[in-house]
Amino acid sequence: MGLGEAVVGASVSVLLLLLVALPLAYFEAPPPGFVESVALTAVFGLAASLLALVPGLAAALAVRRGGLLGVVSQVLYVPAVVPPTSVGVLLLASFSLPRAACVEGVGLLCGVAAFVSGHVVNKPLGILIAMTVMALPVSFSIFDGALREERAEAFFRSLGFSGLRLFLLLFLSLRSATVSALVFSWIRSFGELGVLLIFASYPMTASIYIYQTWLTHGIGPAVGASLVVIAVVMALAFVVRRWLS
Amino acid sequence: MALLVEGLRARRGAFTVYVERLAVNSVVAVVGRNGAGKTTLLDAIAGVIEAEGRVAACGRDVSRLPPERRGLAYVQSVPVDPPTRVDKFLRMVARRHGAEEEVGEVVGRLGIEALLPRRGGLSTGQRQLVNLAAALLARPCAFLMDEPTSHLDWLNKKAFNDIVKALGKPVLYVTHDPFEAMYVADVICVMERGRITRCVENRVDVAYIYKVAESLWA
Repeated sequence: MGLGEAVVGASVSVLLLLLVALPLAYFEAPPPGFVESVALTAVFGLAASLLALVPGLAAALAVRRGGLLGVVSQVLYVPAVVPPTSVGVLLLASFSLPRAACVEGVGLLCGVAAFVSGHVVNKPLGILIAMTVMALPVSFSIFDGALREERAEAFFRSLGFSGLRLFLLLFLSLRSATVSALVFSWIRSFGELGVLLIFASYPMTASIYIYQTWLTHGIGPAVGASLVVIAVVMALAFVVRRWLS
Repeated sequence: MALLVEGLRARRGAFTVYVERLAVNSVVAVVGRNGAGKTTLLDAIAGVIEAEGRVAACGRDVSRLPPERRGLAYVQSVPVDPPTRVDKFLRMVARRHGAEEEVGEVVGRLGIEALLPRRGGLSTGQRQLVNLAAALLARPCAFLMDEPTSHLDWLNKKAFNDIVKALGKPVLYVTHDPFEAMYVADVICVMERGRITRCVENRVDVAYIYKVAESLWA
């Protein structure tokens, strides 16, 4: 066995030991609400991943084209490089009542802000917004990498395509990247805690559910829920990798 | 004049490409080392990057037009995956340019009939032929080809270049390989440090050497 195989074997063994084998000793069935939280994460994660595809590709195209827009587009990386709790706090601040607007009583701006806040913070729409924000860097980086390899935009534009049709052709032509962006940002949504905990902790997604279960029921049921989530996500990642290769 | 470039200046970072005059009426190869500015030149002519100067295609000044309106089909070194089934994609391109009746002829000319029902799993060489078919169906004034055979094996490279030679259309063909340039081009230009330093008529016939090399696989 070569050094590479030995390193891979050791890394996988350690991870399986720490994330599966040893925790199994604590395994208990998770309390009610687990399936709902996983289903909610799956649905909202998929919707967010779909929403992030268009801006991800658009930003990657802007970066390839260069210029000021290309530089500005790299802002899409921000959610990936700052602490998720910061993103959560900033989203919460953005969708909360602006104090200054409400000093004089309920003005129009205050009313609108209160309406938005009431429909976003700790609401399903808030989960969708949080997951979309966190999916943007994944989508962006995957399309950016794909367009470095294939100069598909230059080819299709030279064939006379532009606008929405060009976008559609790029999505279809870069289908491996499109599927990767979709699936990996979807998988990532299962692990998102920091933003959701602060900005949209209700209804409970899988990560919030596991955190709450640990707080209120102890480690056993939280281990049970975590292992099921790991199994689901690993199976999904395995299928996608097989398909892409 | 099919493709005429005059006073073209384009920048990529600190690097500048400047071409005083380049006329493309047949297959013109641009050879040069890595970083000489060959791709930047094609990008500037195609309108993919901003450039000063004049680009005229079929007598029409296209300098200020976006790539999709220049009438210059740009074939890349890494062939692009067809977005749909090959036949649907080719029909889509043909429809856009009023060339529906030409699909069968182009497909037959490139020998890609067997690829028509396929969607994925094409080899690099097959993808490049599909890209070339789409480019032909776009009825361009001229072709821009950026090392189109760099990812192909030698036999596919020769097959592709045989098709390019027989296109009967103006082609600005970028390659690293002077032997390939001698095989495919009527005029060979040398590019160094962002400038075209000389262009010569290709009077060397390397077809015999290619034939000998091809016999290795016979």
